[in-house]
Amino acid sequence: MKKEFTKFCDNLKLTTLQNEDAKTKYTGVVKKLHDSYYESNFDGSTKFLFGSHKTNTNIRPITEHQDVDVLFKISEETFEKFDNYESNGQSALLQELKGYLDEKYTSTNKISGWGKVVLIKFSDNTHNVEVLPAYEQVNGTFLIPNTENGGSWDEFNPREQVTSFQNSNFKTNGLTADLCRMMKSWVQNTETLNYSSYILMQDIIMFLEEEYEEGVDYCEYHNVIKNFLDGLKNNCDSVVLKHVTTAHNRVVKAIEFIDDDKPKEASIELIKIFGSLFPKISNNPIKESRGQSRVFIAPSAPWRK
Amino acid sequence: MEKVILTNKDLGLLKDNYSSLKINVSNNSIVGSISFDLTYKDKRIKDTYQIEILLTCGENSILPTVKEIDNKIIKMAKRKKIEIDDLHLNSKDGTLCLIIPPKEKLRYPNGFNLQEFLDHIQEHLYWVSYFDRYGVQPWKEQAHGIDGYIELYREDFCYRREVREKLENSQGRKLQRTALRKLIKERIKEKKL
Repeated sequence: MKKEFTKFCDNLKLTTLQNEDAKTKYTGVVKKLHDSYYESNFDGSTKFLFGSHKTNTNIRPITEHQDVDVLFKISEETFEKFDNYESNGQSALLQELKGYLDEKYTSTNKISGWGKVVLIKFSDNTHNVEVLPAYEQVNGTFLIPNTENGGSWDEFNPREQVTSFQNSNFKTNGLTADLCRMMKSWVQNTETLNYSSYILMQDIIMFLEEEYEEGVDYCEYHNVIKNFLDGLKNNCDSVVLKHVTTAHNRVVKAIEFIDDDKPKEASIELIKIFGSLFPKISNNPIKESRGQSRVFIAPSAPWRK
Repeated sequence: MEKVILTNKDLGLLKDNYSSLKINVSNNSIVGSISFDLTYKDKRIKDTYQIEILLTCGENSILPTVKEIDNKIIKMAKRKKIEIDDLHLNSKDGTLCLIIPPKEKLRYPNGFNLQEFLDHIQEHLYWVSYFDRYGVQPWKEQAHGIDGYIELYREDFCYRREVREKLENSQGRKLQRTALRKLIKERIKEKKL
């Protein structure tokens, strides 16, 4: 089903317009913050994009749950100002950011600040931006505010996340990004499944390193999905396991149909996993190939010494 | 170890029906990919493995040894968190554990036959692919090691001589019939064969 998997992977990618829209939104957010905190003109250097928009693994259809993750780099002065607060300067920092953003974004957009981020929910409910104020350290990692338990600074290394993804994607010739997008569409299509995109990406990188280090052709993608889910069955908690088992059973059923030259039925099973962006096949090949399969009845029992 | 000599008919078979398997003269082997489209009890599986057939017989065997050279089976075992021996890959030398030697005569009554051997490899790999896909065995494996011989002892009288030899070797002494029976009984009870 090479053609269908190629099309499916293409269907999942954001359109140029969608990418432009996301870019306009997160750039607008960071520019407003830059203008509020710095006297210099905004040239993008105080912005650090990470997460699925950085790795280009965000998927269609766009939902309100898909956020754009971006860091806004604060200066040493700003960091020290809030670090010197007697209690929860981190919360004060987030509230200050929220206040500046309130100036720009109208009441139709919802802005909230909690935990570690400020979330700007746009009125069209797409490409909501999660902005993290972050102080960049000499070693390239960031300190980000955590408002819980009286406030603290957490070390955060988004560069490592991005680099590990890019290395894997380069080695596997794009399979890492494709599998991330496909499995995200499974998560999106499975209502009660809670599987963070970051953990999913890490699981995929580890799996591909073990099993498909150099990537594979689209005609093998059904096996890649089956094997990923099979591995996940041995590495997830019981809540996730239920969903993984269902998806694994479905992909196995799809593979049975593929092996039996029934791509139409296979596509129906794959749509159950991934949703309607997986192309539906309307007809099976006319030529029956069942007769080409060698039937055997009395196999030898394998034995090990 | 005894060399397996291929006939002109065997060479023709490889050329005509298994073109992705090539003879490697330098190390007396056949290397390449083996694909299959097999059906056992209505379950059809298509798959491909990269193998190397070393044209020398294994220990106490008339069959060449076979290695899976793409590590597909090792990766499978790792993913499933099981021992590679459970997928019938010998952990010592990476060869496929195709059949218990006393049963070779049943499958190869006229000695080594390349066509039969390639069919046998495909069926063995079907077993592996089936286990990978469904997590259960498509047909019963022979019990491991010496226990496989004990199974044979119970299965068919014709294997008794070979079983006795194997057990005597494992015990390092000759066994009288009563001692042999006692040993087998104990083993069956202990291993629930």
